Amino acid sequence: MLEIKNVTKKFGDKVALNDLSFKIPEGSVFGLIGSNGSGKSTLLRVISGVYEPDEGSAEIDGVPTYENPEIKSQCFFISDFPYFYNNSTIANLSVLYKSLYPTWSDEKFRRLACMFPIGINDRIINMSKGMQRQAALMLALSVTPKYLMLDEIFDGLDPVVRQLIKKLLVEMVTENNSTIIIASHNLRELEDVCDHIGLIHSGGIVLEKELDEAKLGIHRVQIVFDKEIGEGAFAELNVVKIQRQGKLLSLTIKGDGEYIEKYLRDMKPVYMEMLPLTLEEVFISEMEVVGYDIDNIIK
Amino acid sequence: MTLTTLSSKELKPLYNWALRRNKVIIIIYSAFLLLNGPLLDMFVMSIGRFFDSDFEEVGAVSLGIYMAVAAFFTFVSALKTFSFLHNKRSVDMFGSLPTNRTTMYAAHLLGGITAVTVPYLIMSLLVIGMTARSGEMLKLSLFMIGTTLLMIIASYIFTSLIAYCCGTIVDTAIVTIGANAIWVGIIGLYYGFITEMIPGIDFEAIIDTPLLSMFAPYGFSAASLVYYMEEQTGSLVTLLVWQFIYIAGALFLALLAANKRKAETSQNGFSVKWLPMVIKAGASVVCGGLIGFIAAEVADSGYNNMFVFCFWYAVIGFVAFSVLHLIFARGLKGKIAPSLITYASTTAAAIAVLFMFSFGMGIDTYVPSPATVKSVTFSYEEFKDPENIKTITEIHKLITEGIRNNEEYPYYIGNDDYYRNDEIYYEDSYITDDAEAWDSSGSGSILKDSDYSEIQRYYINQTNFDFNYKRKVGFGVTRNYYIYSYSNDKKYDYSKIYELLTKLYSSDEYKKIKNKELFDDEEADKIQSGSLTYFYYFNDNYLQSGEASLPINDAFMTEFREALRQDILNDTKYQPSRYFSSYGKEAYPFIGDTCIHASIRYLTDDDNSSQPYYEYNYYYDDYDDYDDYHYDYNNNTRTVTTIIKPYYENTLKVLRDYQINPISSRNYQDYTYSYPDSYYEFCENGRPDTLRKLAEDSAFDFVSAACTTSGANINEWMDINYKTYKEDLLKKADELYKKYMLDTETHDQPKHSGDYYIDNYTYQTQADTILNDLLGYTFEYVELTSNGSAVF
Repeated sequence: MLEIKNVTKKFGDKVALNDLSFKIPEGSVFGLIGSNGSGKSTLLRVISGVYEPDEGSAEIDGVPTYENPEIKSQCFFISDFPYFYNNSTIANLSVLYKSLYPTWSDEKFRRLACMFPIGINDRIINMSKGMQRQAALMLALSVTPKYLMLDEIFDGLDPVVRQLIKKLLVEMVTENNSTIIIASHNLRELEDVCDHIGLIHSGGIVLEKELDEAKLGIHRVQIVFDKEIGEGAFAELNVVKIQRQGKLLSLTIKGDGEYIEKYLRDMKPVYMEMLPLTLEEVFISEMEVVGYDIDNIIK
Repeated sequence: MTLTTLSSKELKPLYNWALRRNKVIIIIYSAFLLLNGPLLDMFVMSIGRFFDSDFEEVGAVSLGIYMAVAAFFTFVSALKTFSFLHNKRSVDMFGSLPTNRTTMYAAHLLGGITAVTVPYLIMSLLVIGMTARSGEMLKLSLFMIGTTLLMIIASYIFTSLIAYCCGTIVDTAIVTIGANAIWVGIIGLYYGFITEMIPGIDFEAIIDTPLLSMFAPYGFSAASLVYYMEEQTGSLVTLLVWQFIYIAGALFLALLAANKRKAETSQNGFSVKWLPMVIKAGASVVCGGLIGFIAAEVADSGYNNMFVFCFWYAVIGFVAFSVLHLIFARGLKGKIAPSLITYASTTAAAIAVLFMFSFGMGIDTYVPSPATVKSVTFSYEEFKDPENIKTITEIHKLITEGIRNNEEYPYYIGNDDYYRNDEIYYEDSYITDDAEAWDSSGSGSILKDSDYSEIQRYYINQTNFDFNYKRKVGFGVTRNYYIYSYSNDKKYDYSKIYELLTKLYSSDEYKKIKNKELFDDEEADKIQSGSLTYFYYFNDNYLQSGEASLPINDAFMTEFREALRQDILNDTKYQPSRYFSSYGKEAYPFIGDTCIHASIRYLTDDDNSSQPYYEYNYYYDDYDDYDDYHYDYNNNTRTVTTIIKPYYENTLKVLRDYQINPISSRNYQDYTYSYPDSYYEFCENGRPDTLRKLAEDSAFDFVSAACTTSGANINEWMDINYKTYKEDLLKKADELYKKYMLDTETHDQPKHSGDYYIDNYTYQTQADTILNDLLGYTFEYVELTSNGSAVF
């Protein structure tokens, strides 16, 4: 169990993480989403022991990760821009990681080397951005860490490799009961692979749920009335957003689906349809709740 | 860095990784070392055959270059090894690896140091192999290898510490170079100010290599090399102990920084916020101070120089501060106000310190308490006797009190009077009619040149007094004063100083110091043989020098030494023998008396292969050329020069017993101005009556010399024998005229030889020969007539 306990991290006057607390269940694929600069990458660095939190701690099985080699040997972090020295190759990095991580698997490394279309003796610095990510992931998966932190891992990857990676990640969770935390703005990919999501904004957690639960907790309704209905008519519902196109109203409403449907049908609409939300829509809706929407940005 | 860290399983892979990071550097570094070490040494060895005496110096230069290469690559390697701290991406990678920060630091440090030291050691083994044939060079090579290793370790740790304090590699490089240079610069300026402004402090005497390199680790091996070459072994031990302490301290701080550094500092300024401010302030002090100092020196307008300094200090200091601010803040982004406040306060503090220096800060009047002094070297001689130490401190106090009465107080930059300049020492001289004026120079004897000119003026040099105190505990104190003594102002109480000098030079300790071959049995035991090289009479009016080579036997040498030893110890008015003219009514009463000036050259059994022994025995060729030294490079000869005074009864008796007297070595080629006028007349006209006049004019001086040697009482002898002697002398002169002056064939006219035509004096050679014979005749005459019974 990975637990974030009251973590605060400041960079000078700027608060990157503000008393953040939540838990990530073991064996889950946790999608960390949030606006730009919300603190996702910072949180990953705190979890992986790169940054020392100013307050609180990131703990694995009750033990802080910072300056704890034993705990850190169960973790692997791939940052948004993986770093390689000028003369680094996958082969010589494998020597380093093999020596440092007791869970390193040569067999897995060989299997992955065949799987990914990159040479293990080529200088990584000469590879494309996507290939560099593949190289980093090859090494990470060979370590078979208990906790894998990935920051914007899908950036620069072609759709086929993305599918491959998603497959490998799911396989890792299935085989090793690993926990994977992926910070990304690519919500479409996250939706495919994550079973939990955490939404961060301005250093605080906005939402932390199972993905399905998150998606079920918010609904988009298209509804038409034959008479003029004021917005006050929906006062009893937790309406996040109302859009009007002639007589067609599009409502984004949080709450229990059955209750919302019954409530609206009782209002005798001419037409009504409840539509499922994508993760992106959930994200936008949730962010609108905290005042982060396009209208506010334009203003 | 504990044993747990060093034994941790993560250390090895990270260490290997750090080594791998240095692969390219190792190759280039090894190539440079090969070029500058073994290959340069081959060159040195080859030229060493031709310039054997400079062999060690050339070798030291080559080792110096070798050392500089090591220092440069230490810097480059350390920057590269710890550059992982200065890139956010690499911080992510290394920060997330399963190890702690101490292990991470230790692995990189050890890997980096290995990368620099292993090639160095391998190349050094080649150097050792090549220099093994020369004992000195081998010793020097081993020494430099050891101290350079210390430098590498210290510098690597220092640079790693700075790397952990900085956010970027550029800042790390600037701060590392800056911190080393600023320390040296500030210490240099400190020395510059106090030596330039405060009398008595001599830059070369106090410049302290360990202090200069104290917090500039890249200078560690340079400091060691300086100490090695100067053979200051005591200080070298202190230096090496300090270097070990420094390494331990820097390592502790680096570990602290490694554990405290916030990872987010990478590419983002400094993790130690005050560091850039310190570097900016330090750079402004050094740059402003240096340019201000030069400007004040050039201005040379008295106390206004201080204001010239302040102006240029403020301007250049601001420029240096601003440039670094722009670099560190990457433009004008940083907070300007705190920087300006720092600059202003630093400038105010530096200028305040400068003005404090101008009042001496007590340094100018400081004289160590005699009780705390173990020994003091005063004008080249080391005194250990507490009584003499006390006397020297009293002289020192009189000088410092005099300085405070100087019209140049408070002191200022650019006052040339305060510091020593050898050129001025020999070129600036002063003529005074003041008979009381005196000069102390060289080893401290008091001189008067009474023969400078016809009107009896006194040729006076500037006067220097050197004090070098060794304390029983703690640091030594060195002061060199360069004071004017030609004027009659009341700055210095000359008579009191003079009295104390007399007391000092009359002490047994001084006599023993000045006559090691007489008093030091160990020195005396080295003597194998000897010869009398200079042996002549002198007094104020009768000054002659003679050069001879009279072999002296062991028996004479033993007796002569013992007798002279007793006489010198009994001499209550002793003065060093180095100078042939002295002044002082009370202390040196023999002026006007006839003394014997004797130089005895001994051949010792010193080992020729050791450090060459430089005996430089200097004297004045003539009065217009004071810096004409004569060196004796023989490494196993010692020259003892001594003055045998009229009252050295024991010594004179030995000379009489062995029938050794100056007559046998005298000639008249030097000091022609001391001859009577009749001598020059005779040289020109060669007439017999002129020779008679010359004999008559010289009679008293001849007698004076002969009486001194024979031990006869000159007054008694003169009363009894002088009249008869003069008549006999004139007869002898007539005989010699016939013998040397008349043509052997015609016997009726003077000889005229173009071969002897010297300085317009036709008969000079004949005149010298005749005078020589007349002097010999007088010695025999006095010996016979005094019968050895006359005493003082």
